[in-house]
Amino acid sequence: MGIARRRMRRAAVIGPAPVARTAATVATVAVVANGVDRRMDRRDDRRDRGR
Amino acid sequence: MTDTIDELGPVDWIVVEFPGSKFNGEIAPVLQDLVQRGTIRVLDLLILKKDEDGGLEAFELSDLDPSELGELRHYENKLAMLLSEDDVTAVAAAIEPDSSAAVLVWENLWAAPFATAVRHSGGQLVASGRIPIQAILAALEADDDDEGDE
Repeated sequence: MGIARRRMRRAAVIGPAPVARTAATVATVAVVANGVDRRMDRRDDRRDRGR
Repeated sequence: MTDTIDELGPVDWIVVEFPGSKFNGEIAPVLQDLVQRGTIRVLDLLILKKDEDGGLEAFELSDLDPSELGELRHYENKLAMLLSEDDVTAVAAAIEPDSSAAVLVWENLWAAPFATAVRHSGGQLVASGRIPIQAILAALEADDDDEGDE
């Protein structure tokens, strides 16, 4: 077990500083839905203004 | 080598955690679909396991039982092994105890032709990044607040 020897000689591409946890991304769907709604709202707003 | 770099798309990485060490390779079909469509190329894939006491073990795909990997075995001999020992230590800091995690590094093949076209037309990339979901939410909420004030 363990990592391959090749990795021991590699320069870090992510580290060496510890990586912080990303905040939960469960909001993605909400953002998309929000964006869609907002676009529709704005379209309605523009249409209303044109009347 | 210049040609290779010229055609290299942006490279991203993620760490996906499976609480309770329930990693089983079920992500493989979706990953394979992205590869087969030419959307991405998998450059590296490592599996990390952190025990309840925080002890860490890293595994190459070849170390794992096929039942754990599923179709991820497909990548076993195709990895560039970009990640270093320091990288493993760095990403391990983000993993909770009693969890397993997959560290995935991939090239965004879809972006390579565009980037090449930009370079060939005399343009150059001067900035890029990823907008955190939290920042988008905050911006949308602030916008909502402004509209509420109108």
